Amino acid sequence: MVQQLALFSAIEDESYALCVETLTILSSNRPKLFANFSNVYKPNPILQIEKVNAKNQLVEQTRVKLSTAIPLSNLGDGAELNYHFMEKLDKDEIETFNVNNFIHETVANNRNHWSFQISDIPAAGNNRKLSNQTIHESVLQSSNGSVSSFIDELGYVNDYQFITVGVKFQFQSGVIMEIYKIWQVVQKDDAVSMKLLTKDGFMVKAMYNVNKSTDIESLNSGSQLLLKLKVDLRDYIDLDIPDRKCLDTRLNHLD
Amino acid sequence: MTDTPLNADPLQSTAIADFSDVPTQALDALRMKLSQLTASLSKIRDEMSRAELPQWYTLQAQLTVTLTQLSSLTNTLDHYEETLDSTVAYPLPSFPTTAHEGLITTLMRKKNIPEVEEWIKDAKETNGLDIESLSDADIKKLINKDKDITSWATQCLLDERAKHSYTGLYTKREQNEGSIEEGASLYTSSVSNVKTSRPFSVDKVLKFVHQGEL
Repeated sequence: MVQQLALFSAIEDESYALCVETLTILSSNRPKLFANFSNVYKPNPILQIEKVNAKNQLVEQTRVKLSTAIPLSNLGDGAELNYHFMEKLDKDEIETFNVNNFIHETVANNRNHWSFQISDIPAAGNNRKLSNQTIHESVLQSSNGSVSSFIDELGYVNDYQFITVGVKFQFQSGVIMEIYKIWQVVQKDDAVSMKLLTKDGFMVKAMYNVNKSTDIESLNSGSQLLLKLKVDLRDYIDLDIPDRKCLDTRLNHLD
Repeated sequence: MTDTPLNADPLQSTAIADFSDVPTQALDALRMKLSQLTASLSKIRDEMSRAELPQWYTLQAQLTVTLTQLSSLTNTLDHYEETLDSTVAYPLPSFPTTAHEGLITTLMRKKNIPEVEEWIKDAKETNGLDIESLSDADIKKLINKDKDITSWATQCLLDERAKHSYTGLYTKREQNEGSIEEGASLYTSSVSNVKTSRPFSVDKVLKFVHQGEL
């Protein structure tokens, strides 16, 4: 379980190069390119799941997110990539990346390692300056069969999929900043296509992870670090707390 | 005086004062500039006395404003020098002198108040010049020497500054020697283009990531 403090923003395509240089200097670390494929599952609607527990308390159903890394060699069709790769990604398709092959291969085999993640809705309250969310995460190293059969046995079905490609900065203080683009993965019959959701720009996320929600000291110092970063970047990138409802992974529980 | 006493003795009010020669324009201009200046000075004093000192650039900006106001006041004083020098203030016979003796002595006072006297004395003492024993020519010479040092220092600073690159990611030497790798981005500061904007709604994208809804 991890408690994640986060702030979000967005920048336009033209600002990317300067933003990367700025964050390289601020973090004193080189940008690290990353690419993830995420598959989100929801509880199988065919199954009749009790919405209350033994104590007759309401139990919310949440989605489950499984993510795996897209090997950079796969992404660049064998070419060596660095953060400049992101500068060319302004279309629905990534020219060097065969999404069809990747997904068919990845979902069917059991060699990939997946991160298995369930998250709670961020904490509520007035005057919140940061998003504070509980995330439970584990790693699936191998499954008996494919990952889809594993998730099927858990009682979940496919909901939606997306691909994240971006760069990551690790600050000395423990703060992590990510600048990334998101593509929705659209499956039609057997063909898979991608749709760029972050048109003309990049998402910006600044976060700080604390292992225990009871570790108030780390939560406070993390908050201070993030707010300091927000002040440092003000008038350049305005990091904001997002609407907590947008970070809610629960199924529409009022149904 | 520009003030008309309100509680003038009705017996004397028949003698109507002639205000036409009062340099209202000059006095009004000065009053405005002075009130601006006192306002910014007291603001700086308030900020300095706070427990948490303001950022240096805020202070610098305020100081610049104050100095501009001060020089504007000096200009105005210069502009109206003749008028003000030849103006003599006196109380009207209708002023209730007995009742408001304190007020009238304050208003009519020409000498600086002791506090100000102290400041002037202090400034004279700390400037390092022995005004008593030096002749006017000597003082002028010393002031000119001081000006020379100032211009030398300014030149020095400009020369030093030219040796360094304050924008972008490379030193002046790297730029001059051309040791920058091909295709490296050189940034020059541009105030207009530095602020980023959001080309899409962050919340909408987050909503998709967590709920799959567009």
